[in-house]
Amino acid sequence: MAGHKIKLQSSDGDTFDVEVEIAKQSATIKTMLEDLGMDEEEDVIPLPNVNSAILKKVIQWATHHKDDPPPPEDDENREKNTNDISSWDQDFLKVDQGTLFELILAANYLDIKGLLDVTCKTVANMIKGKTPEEIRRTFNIKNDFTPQEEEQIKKENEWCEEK
Amino acid sequence: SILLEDIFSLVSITQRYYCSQVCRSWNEIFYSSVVWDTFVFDGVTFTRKKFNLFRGYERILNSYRVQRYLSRKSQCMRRLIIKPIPEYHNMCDFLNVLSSFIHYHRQDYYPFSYLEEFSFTFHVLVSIEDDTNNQGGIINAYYQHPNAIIRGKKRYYGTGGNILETLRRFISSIRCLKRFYLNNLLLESNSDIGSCLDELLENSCETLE
Repeated sequence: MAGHKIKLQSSDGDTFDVEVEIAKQSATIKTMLEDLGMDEEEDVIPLPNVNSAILKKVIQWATHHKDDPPPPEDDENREKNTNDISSWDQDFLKVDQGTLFELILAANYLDIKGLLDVTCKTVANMIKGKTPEEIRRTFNIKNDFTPQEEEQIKKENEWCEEK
Repeated sequence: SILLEDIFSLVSITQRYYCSQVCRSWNEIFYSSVVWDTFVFDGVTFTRKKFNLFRGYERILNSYRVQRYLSRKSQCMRRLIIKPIPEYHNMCDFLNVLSSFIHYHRQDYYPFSYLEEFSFTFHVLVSIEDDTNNQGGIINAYYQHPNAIIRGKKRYYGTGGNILETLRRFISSIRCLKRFYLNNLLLESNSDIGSCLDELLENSCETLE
């Protein structure tokens, strides 16, 4: 069935023609196709949680990675290393933070293990080596602790800190 | 927030600590057990650098921090991975802290009730004698661990003596494992790792896969 295509519809109504093999990297779509027998070309798979811009990026990623070996079922046995992001992925993920987070959510919803891994690692790398204040600035997070609370949580987990 | 848990588990413990101070919702994630389910002993975590007149900077395990960590997070740990590190003393100290911790609590409860996997990889040190750049290192390792096998110009540092003893003590105190790996052990033919494996089988017989 090589080259066989299906249609994916984004939340804002655009449809994309995608090869079945590429679309099946998403476990969510794979299950839909298999369980519902939706393999006719006229069928459109609606993806109400993903907008066009993000879906386009996801398809771009999945197309590049279509020949990758499938990720091992039991990912618990894999060690997590945040330095093994391929240069293609690094370039691919040079996007603004909003897009990056939307990609994470889309990867999670579509259940694309590889994309979720690499996007989470990218965020982890953004956190690395930063102080709480720097993290807040990077992600535009408001500090909602009172000074007393801040003091207390610092003390509570002091053992974590390298000295 | 489930996704943030994944991200937290990718960063170091110190970094998780900083993350916990960012805001309330991040602080909650710090206390989620998922974040702490895998512990990798890589020779850097819980160590500090210390200057030694003979060897320059070296890393020393901070047992106090390991204890504090265990007393808070031991019940979260599902996987324990010991990476091959050349600082045998730190690896042994770490395992000893774990064994003592289990021993200390044995009257009340078993502190690693969710530990499913123990994976240990030994750092088989191979040094070639005429490697002048590494002369210091060779002498070092030799005096600390006289269990070296010399073959031609290569020297292999085996899993014996204190290291084996420490490993055995730890293995025989853990229970209810599901997965268990020992990699790259270099043993003498007459050494008996067997007896502790028997004990392990006894303690984990119902769960081991």
